[in-house]
Amino acid sequence: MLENSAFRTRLAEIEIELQALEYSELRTLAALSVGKAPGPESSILKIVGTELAQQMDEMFVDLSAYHCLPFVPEQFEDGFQGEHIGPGSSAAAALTYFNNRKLTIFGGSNEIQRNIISKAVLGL
Amino acid sequence: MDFSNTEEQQMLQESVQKFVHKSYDFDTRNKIMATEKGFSEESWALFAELGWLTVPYAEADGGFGGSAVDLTVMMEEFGKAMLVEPFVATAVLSGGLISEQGSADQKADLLPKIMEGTLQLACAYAEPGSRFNLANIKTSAKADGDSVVLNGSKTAVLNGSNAETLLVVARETGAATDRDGISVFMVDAASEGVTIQAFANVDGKKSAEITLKDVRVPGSARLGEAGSALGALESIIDRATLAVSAEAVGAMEALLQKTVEYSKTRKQFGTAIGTFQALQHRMADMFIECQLARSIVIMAAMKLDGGESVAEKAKAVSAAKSRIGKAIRKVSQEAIQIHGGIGMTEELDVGHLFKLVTAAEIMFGNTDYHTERFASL
Repeated sequence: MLENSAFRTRLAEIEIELQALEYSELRTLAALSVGKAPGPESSILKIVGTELAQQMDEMFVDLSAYHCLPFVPEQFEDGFQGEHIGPGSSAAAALTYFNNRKLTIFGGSNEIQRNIISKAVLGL
Repeated sequence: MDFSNTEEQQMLQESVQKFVHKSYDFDTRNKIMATEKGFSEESWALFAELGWLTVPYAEADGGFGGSAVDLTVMMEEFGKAMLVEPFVATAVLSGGLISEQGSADQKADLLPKIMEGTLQLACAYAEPGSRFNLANIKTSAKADGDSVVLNGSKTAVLNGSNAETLLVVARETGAATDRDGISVFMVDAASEGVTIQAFANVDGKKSAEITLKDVRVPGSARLGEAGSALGALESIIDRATLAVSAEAVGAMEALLQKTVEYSKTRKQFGTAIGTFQALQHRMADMFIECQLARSIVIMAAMKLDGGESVAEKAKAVSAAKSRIGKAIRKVSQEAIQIHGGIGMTEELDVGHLFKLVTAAEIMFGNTDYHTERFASL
């Protein structure tokens, strides 16, 4: 897949986004370490972190292709003795993708986070 | 990790802010932009006096020994005020190339003149059809006795029409796109065989197309060793890339701030448009883009200042430019859309900021180029 230029670009974009997020987090932590309270700016960490995680889940689905379709959840349970279906964790890709829709909903949905930014940061 | 400004960075930032406040409002800037030179010599002399022109150079060369982070602090302020002076072209790119690639004598001769504000330079690296590939050099340099004869075409030469000396990137040996065989020559802009077609870019910065026809320079006009310039050129273009990225961060912040202010005053259906959630969320997204852009520029600057390998530094700069490019498109387009028709007028600064960041997205490699470069490094 790495030879597929569309996929390579997508992977690069996700990796870059992760770096931008990482440095945003480091900036927030640095502010905390000098005694500043976590401001409403930290809403961006929730928004970007969860949306990026969902993009990665989507990428795993696309990467796994057919292999993410079998619905055999018991093979991921402790003590499973049978034969795994599909290579590696590809059969878990769809399950993770479904489950992680929750990321942008809980902890104050991303819409609420945007409300917080517009009220508390932008003063709208 | 410490992200707070050092005392020196704070001084630099305040110095630029004071200058802008006192002598560089939007109208003044537009008047300067409309002059033939397209920048103010008076401002330039003041830049020298304030020490800004020494920031990119090592203390050993008589400079301030500024870090990449210092440079981004200045450039951000330049971006907010849309300074049109050729700081990147002369001080960062051309002067930077001399300090990376020049001999001790060449540095001692030229760098003080740049820092004193008495020498304008331009670096002619890009060629028609080369796009962003720095190794794609077809301009030829052929030795003829003690001199060298240059032939070729150069495009997008920032400050090309104002420079007294052009730094011409040319190929001495090998085929176009070979990494070896590339040299840089100092060429007097008034030399026989040099044709300069001057124009302004969309952001008001002066640029030029330059053709070289049998231009004869002495062998001593070569910067450093023959055929070895590509590495230095790549590293200095990376630094210039960081500089325009930081300039864009400043301009994007101005765009966000102006858009938010405008949305609080502009009324529709009897209420300020900033109270509409449809617009609030879009401005929240602009804020997120500005913050991510700032974070990744800081990351790239810190990596340029740190002990990373050449490839790691290049990769960090490409990550920054790629991400900044995305932020530029989003923030600038939304700023115009939320302003409405007035955002497209010449009278309002928003449209000028839009043009500045649009040019910044392209300079030294656009988003697609840097995403691909990031993936390949």
